[in-house]
Amino acid sequence: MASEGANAAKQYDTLDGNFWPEVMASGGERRTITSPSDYTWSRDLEDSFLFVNEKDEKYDCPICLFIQREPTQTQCGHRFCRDCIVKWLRSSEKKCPICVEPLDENQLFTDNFAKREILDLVIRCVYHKEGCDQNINLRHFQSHLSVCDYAYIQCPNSCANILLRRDLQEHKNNKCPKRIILCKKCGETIIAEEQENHFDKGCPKVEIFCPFCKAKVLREELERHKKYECSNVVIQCEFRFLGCQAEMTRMKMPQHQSQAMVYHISLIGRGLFELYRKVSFIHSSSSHGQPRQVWNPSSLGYQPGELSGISHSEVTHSLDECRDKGNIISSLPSTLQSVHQLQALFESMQLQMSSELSLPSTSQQKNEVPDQATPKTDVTVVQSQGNEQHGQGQQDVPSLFKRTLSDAQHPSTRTQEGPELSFMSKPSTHKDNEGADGLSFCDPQYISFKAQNDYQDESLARHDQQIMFLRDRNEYLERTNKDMKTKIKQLENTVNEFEGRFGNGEFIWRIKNYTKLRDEAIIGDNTAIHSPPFFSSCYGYKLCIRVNLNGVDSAKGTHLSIFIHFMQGENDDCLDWPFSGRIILSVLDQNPICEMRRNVSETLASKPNLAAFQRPTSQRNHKGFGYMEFLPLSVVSAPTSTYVKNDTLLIKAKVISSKME
Amino acid sequence: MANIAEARIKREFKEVVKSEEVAKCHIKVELVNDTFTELRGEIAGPPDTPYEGGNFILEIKIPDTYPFNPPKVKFVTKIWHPNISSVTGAICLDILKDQWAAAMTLRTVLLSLQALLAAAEPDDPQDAVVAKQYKENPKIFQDTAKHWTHIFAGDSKVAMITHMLELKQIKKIAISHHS
Repeated sequence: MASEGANAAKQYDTLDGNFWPEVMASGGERRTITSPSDYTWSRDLEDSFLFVNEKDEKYDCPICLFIQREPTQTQCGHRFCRDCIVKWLRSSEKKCPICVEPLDENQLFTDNFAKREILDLVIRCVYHKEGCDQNINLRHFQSHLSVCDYAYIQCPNSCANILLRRDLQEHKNNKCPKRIILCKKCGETIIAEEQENHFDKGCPKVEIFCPFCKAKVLREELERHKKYECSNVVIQCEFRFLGCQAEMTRMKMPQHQSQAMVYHISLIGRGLFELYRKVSFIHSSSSHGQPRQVWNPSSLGYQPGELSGISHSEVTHSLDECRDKGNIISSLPSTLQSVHQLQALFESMQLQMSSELSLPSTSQQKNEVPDQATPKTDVTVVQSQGNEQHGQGQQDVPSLFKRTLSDAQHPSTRTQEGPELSFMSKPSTHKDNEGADGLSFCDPQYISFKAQNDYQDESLARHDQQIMFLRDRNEYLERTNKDMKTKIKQLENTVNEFEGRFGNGEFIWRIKNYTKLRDEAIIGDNTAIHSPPFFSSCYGYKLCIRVNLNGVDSAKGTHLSIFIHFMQGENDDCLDWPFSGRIILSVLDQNPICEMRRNVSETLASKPNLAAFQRPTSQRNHKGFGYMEFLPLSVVSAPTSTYVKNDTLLIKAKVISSKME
Repeated sequence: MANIAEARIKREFKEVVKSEEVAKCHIKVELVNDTFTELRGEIAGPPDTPYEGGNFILEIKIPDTYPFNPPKVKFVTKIWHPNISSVTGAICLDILKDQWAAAMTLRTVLLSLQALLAAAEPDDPQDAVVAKQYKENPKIFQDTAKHWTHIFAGDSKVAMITHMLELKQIKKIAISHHS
């Protein structure tokens, strides 16, 4: 009977469905008589009825003691609920319950007069204590309940709150934890109680701390922040495409940029040279039969020996090949464009460098370089000389420029001035270039320190990244491990259940750690232990064994006590209750010599009137059945005893249901 | 327990507690558990009978089918009466068996039992030994019944069980006398 007011709090434990006696309908069909339409309130509510005028007891049914529902009068003049009297007549010897006069079902008639009087009885609203001041007659009681402002109702958002109807609107608008609200920050629709979670995990407009630099940024900005701003994020050097492997935090990058400038320039140089090589290769392969024309790097005042990886002879060879050319540029306009770009980059680096290192002359001289491009032969010779004299291939670029330029400017004195040139290129002569630490920028030692430093920065950055990677990996593994553990636990449970289920009523319980458990039992920490559940057959009764390792009650300290407890199983509905059959309990002797094993067994027969054999109403029936004095503890723990082996005690139960026999 | 039984017992319980017999300490009902399936009744021995002055405790069990079937009642206090077993306390009373009617209540049952104490039915006995004594040797029956009442349903004992408040009062008086 799902009445309209079924959600009223006072009706939660209504008896509605079961309250009305079950009777056989006239057609023999079994049906539950539901309350007639005029009496839709729950009978539980009648306890709260407060009649405005004293209600006469004549309106109460003498059988159920509640207000008569569908008042029915007997021939002898007594009045009952229709269902009550019908049920009474069908379950007794057809006598009036009051005057004991013989009475038959067809001697009953519906008393509509009484019914009208009853429905006209006026009560105060059952929620008058909550504040409803209305008086209602019983006819309109139920409909009032569904509108009464003071009736208890459940929040329709199913937030588990029960409140007065008049408070519902306010609750739904402002209080209900399940109400839908707009996030104040991002405007998304969220459930109120999940707001915190939303702020913590999802909301893009919440300020969070950058995990690297701890700066406050909006969640949606975080990625951008990490990519472009965060000073603690490890980034790659922008010369990576040229071969600089340095990686470090953004904060340290400017330092790297300035410290590794020379290195970077050399990379640019190398890149430039590579490009030249490719250009010349393309050019030579595209102009078959024609004399091979090769771009000469030295046309930019470049010293071939500078470019590690390119042998001196190779460079000389390519220089030899391009003795007479003047039409090179016009043949490769597109490739040259990129060359010019590189050149521009190179120049700008030089400019920057010269300003930092106070070498104003370099840029001037550099500007003259293209003009010096023609006297190729001489330059080559001088360059080879320079290389021979220094022989270390570590000369810095500015010094090379100088040397080249001086050669170009004084071609006639070139050969004689060889030693002087080499003198000029010595770092000691460049006093202007000396750094604050006394080491010249051009000093090979300084450069090697720089290189070392760069390398260390690089490896540091790499390690940082490795650590982060390992941390992630570790977290992942921990998570996986946890999942695995849960899965193993589940599988263990499944295995246990399978063991218990398919033992066909037989179950052997291995009590491991016997000594420890026994000690616990003696101290009183854990006096009773229960076995995993098992079944009398695949779809049979679910049981478990309980053991008191130190005895229980009168057997405490003297005997091992063993009991059988029935448990709630999924088959209970189709099993016979109380259980009937036999249960054999044994303590198994684990003597290695089979002939000497003395298993202790007891057979117990079910007793239908004992609570232990009834259908369990809790997960495990609190009442068990078994033996308090199953086996003297002195026997179990005797030095020669073989009942406990490897600290394990074996208890076997065999359940024989009489149904199965 | 079917809900109708529980609902009805709740109502009856209120009725008995409010009744004038309770006010006069003639009958009494107490709850034993929360589900109203078991109750403890108490009746006073009727005046001018060997049971006068005694208070008899009853065990009342309410079946699921109540009130369509009678409650199961037996004496907990030992009593010497032809229609009540002197060993088990089982009662032979028609309304608790085939003459039960759904309109009867705990109150009417207790009052009927009180009436039974006042008017035994030796021809429909529960305890044959007592019934025989009742018929053949009324004097000895009277003395035995009185003696049993005194021993098992004695005033002071009953007072202790039923009227704890009074007892406290008595204690107070006793203490004040001592000091």
